[in-house]
Amino acid sequence: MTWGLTGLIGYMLFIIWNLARKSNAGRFGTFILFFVLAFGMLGFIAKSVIQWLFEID
Amino acid sequence: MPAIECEGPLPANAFRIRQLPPGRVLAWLASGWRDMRAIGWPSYLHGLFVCLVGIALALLSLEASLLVLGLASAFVLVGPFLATGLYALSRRRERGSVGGLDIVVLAWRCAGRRLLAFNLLLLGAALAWVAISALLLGLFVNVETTSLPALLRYVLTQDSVHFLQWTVLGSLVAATVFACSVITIPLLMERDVSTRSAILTSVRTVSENPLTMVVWAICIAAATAASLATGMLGFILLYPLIGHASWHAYRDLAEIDDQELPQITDDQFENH
Repeated sequence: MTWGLTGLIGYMLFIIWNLARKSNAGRFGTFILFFVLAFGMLGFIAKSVIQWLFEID
Repeated sequence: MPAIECEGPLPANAFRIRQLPPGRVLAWLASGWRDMRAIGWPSYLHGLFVCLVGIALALLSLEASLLVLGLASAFVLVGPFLATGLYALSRRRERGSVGGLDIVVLAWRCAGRRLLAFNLLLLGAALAWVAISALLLGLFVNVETTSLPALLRYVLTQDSVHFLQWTVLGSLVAATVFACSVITIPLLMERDVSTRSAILTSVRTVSENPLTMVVWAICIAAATAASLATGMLGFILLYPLIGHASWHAYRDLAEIDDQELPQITDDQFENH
């Protein structure tokens, strides 16, 4: 399954690259990087808050 | 008037993208708030509708708990197209009058044709995401989960690398859908352009304002999280607020030459 998921992530990256190429979007990669990092951080915070709220260890 | 067909984004002489600082997001929210207060119940009705759909989905998730995480994120994917009526109400207010439900019905009736292809794409992405999420959760949650709290407890305490991959994949899907849709629906509603041109123009807009767009996406995510945390009730206020603010984001980001790319007038709207 690890390979399948990695393949799906790779396919998404190809879609993103293709979109950036067709739209002449120079800094689209910067946006994707910021977005994934920001939402990773938000997800980590949300996970901690939910764990604290529901007292899950 | 034929739709502008082109291989790439809209021609530079028809459409100029402004580069704005992240602080502009506050101005969009303030304008959205003023629209919502002035328009009143037709705005809140959109929020109520989304709230009821959210409750229905939550009840469905209680029956099939593996769907819950996918459904929560898919909800965000179809959010922009449900807001079509809110964009039409903001547009009408911009022209000096306050519209009612007739404006919303009109927007759906005529913009519906131009938006159909794009909305089907959003819906397809949302359904694919629900299916992939349910499949992945089914594969990596290898304990018996009889209820939603049990599933959440498992998901929040496991250290599976698959969960990390699922979140990365989810972020990439969300980023792509956000970039493809952030100004697409207001643009398709207001100007006669092809779906492909509108999507590529939206992507170019995002790439010109990467940080501002991430701040805007965080605001939308925070509003969605707050609404989910209040048992969907938050949607009644926050959904119309974000919808109207999205219209102001489009107005602020896109500087469009009316000669090169004429607006669809109210008469053309009604004659569609």
